[in-house]
Amino acid sequence: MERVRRRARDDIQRELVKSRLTSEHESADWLNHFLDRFWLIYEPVLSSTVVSSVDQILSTNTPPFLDSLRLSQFTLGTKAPRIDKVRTFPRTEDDIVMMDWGISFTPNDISDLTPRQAQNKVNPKIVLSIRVGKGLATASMPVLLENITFSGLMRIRMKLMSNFPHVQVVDISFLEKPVIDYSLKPIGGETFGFDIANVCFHLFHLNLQLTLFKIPGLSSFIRDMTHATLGPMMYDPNVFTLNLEQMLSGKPLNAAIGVIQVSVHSARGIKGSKIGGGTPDPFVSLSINNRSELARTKYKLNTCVYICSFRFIFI
Amino acid sequence: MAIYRYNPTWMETKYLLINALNETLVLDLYDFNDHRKNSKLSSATFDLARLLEDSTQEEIVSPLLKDGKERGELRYDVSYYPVIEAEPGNEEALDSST
Repeated sequence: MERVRRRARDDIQRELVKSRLTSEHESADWLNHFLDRFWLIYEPVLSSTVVSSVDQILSTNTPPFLDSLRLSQFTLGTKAPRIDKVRTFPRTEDDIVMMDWGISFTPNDISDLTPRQAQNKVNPKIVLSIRVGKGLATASMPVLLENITFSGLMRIRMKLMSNFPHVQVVDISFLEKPVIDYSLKPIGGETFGFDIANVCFHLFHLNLQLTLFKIPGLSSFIRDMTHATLGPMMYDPNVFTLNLEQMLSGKPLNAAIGVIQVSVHSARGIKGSKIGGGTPDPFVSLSINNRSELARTKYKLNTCVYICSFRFIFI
Repeated sequence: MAIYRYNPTWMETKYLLINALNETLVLDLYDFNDHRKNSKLSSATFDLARLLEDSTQEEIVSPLLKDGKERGELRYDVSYYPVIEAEPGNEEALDSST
């Protein structure tokens, strides 16, 4: 009798929890505590990954008014992101775990830090190097991104499997556009000197910094860029899929999937002439997604089978 | 005043390693300069995803664009040769054949 009652109670409890899971958000304080500790160890690894991958994206997506845009420094600071709420969906297939996570990252809010933590706190710091100008007349300047806050609602879906690592695929998607906020600040790299030549340079530098403040597009450009890059990648209904099975199977992710053979035959009707006269010596350069050049043909010396169409101007 | 139209012929074949088919092959047309930087005349693009339907595409004619304006056209072929996945246990056989 006692055994039956105990089992019944256990079953009822499990079912009750299920219905509560779907309807209510729960806080995840235990996990946040874990994150706080883990973050200190994981953050350097994460930052270096971000620098290398974002730098690549930025270098190919420079806005037209800038010569180049690079990410040179990136750290997220010592304060870990927080999971505000978790909602679980128990009514999925047996091998699928689905959860909604509300995540916020407010590294500059120090109200919930102990004095000791506040002492060792490292602020998040993102430094972008921007080159403005064209050709020879370019100037480089670092720009600091500060006061970053981020919050969003994320859906995580995991598909389980029986082999190691037991999670086959993780799908991540933002259910709504996350809130991203920050302020941009140019920083002068050099200290002021008394050299006259230097002063001139600094005046120029200062001038540029002031104009940068006034570049209306830059701040919103970076925000739009972030949304535009992340949008097709992981905003609902798009999902960002991590295939853990493939990643851990030891196969390198950046392995080539094949070779393409490109035979360049000819071009027709190229217009344009050389600076300072003469005919162009054209060659074709091949690249993927405008990344670095992979191959180029030989150039053809003044190969011009020109269709002459003369127009005489009579005076 | 003469309006020149250049029709260069290369007849050259190049092989490129690719990592994904969702990318774009960019063919840039440059003017070779001895002492100065080579100047870019125009460029044509080819969507690698088209190779999924047909892995050998011949006699492609793409417009050469510069700042959105057409500056001639480029003729080329593209063929795709995927990596042959080695069957587990059969890898040695593949290695010895190469």
